[in-house]
Amino acid sequence: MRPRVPWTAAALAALAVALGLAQAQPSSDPFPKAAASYLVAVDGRVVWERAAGVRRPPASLTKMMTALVVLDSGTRADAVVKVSAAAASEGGTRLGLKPGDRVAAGDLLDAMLVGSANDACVALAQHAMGTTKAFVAAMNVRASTMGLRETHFVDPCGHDRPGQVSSARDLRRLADAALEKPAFARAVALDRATLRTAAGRELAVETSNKLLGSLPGAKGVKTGYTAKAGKCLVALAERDGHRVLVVLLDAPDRWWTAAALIERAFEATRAGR
Amino acid sequence: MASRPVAIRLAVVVSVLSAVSALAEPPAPPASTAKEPGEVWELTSQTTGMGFSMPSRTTRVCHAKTGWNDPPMAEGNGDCEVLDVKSSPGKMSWSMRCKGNPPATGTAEITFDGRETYQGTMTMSMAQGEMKTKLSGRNMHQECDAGELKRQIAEFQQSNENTMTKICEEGARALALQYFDGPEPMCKEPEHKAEFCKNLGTMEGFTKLPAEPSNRYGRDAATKFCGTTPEKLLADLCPKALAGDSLDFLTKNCPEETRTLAQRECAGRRYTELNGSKYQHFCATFAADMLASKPSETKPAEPDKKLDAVDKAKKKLKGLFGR
Repeated sequence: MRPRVPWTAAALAALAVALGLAQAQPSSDPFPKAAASYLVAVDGRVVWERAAGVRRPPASLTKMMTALVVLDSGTRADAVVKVSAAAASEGGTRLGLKPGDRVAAGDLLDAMLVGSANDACVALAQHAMGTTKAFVAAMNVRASTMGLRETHFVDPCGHDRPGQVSSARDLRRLADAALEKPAFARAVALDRATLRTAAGRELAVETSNKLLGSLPGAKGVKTGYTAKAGKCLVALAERDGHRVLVVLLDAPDRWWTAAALIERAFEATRAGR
Repeated sequence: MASRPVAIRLAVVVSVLSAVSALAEPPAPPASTAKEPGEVWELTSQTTGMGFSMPSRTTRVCHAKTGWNDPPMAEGNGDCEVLDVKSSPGKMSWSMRCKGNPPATGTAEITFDGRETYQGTMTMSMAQGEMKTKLSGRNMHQECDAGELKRQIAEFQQSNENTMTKICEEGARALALQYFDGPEPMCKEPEHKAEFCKNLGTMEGFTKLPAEPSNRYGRDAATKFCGTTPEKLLADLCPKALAGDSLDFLTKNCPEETRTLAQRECAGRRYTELNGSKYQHFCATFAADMLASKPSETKPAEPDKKLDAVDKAKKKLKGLFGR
């Protein structure tokens, strides 16, 4: 049997190098105090970054992938999700679901993205893939196919777990991919999400993103916090045809920092830089 | 034979001269709108010389009934001066000097038949040769207002002056230094320069001009024209900007005053405390400047470890950002 054609490996290697070169953008780090890791992209181009490839816990920024997998699983927005006891007992930020609650999947998606509700997150994951373990596996498959080399998931909702990591660079690509989904883009721009269970109980959650409604042009995307991850944020703002995306991992003050970076980025677009 | 462009030029000169303005000097603005009794005269000229002959030209003018004290007028004298006008009973003579290309000089003499007609000749000399024009005029005995043309000329001149004034006023408003500076500036009046410099000394004026020193009509050149410097202007404007909360001007031009305002309005405030406040954007801009200053250590982040740089940043920024 003839050996595998060596040029295949060489071609793949060349492609990897080319992709790496294509992704390598000339950028700078003018804001060393912004966060442990940060990245700012203007109109799709990374302009400022710091340690953007370093693996760090992503906290609830994980839910961007959760949403992407749910949306790609074919789960319809009007599908009725039955909340399990495990979902209802989730810690951290919660919507207040009870075991046995029946809620529309689309409403749970909104609550998960708007208020970072962990009970809604687990309920969705279980509905989409049967178990959270299967769902997490699907998340990792998706990360792999997207080329998110610094990302690995252990928990579907972003709790601190050994091995739960991502990077500013990967999270930026994840956000861009998720924002292509209309349901995702709509949900992350909401300042409030309300839902009604099948039994008629009304639940509501306010946005955890302080930029929405205060920073001109703010359109999302996701907040995150754990003791290990620190204050994290993916923020998007659009003004005058320009788009600024900011990723912050472990920022001293994510709101002032995100606002400052976004304002400075838009100033740069006006100055033609 | 003269070349065609020269011939055209000569024809223009002659036609202007054959209908020479009454005015050896500019008319005074009309003292009133009262009519001046006049009569319509028909003036005819025909020019030959240098190998060609112009068609005869006839025009009608309104002339005062007081008689011809100045050479017969029709279209104005263009860029020609009327000199040495001499009148005696039944005769008038004068000389002309015209600028332009080609320049020309000339003399003319006409003889009046009472108040009914006149006949005469004008001779213009230039480098290319000589042109002769037969001049004649006939009183049409029609009533007219002889002051009308004078008023029109005066209005036209006033309008020209008004236009220049408006241009210079607008130039002062727009800080168009090219109107005011240079070897032959269009706007020379002291009051327009004063207005220019006054506008430059405002926040809007200061920021309107390009700041690049190499810009010929930029801020540096304008301040020099006004006998000042950007620094002196800012010494006056920055306190005003602080007092008036001119936030955009402050952040772009006044670092000391910006720090003062930031300490007053941003320090210790959470981002959400300033929702809807006019200081929110200002504080975010100031925060960007604080984030941009170099930390004492610049180790890149490592996973699962607290960073010295981030710790120091948290402490340093606590006063601005709150908890």
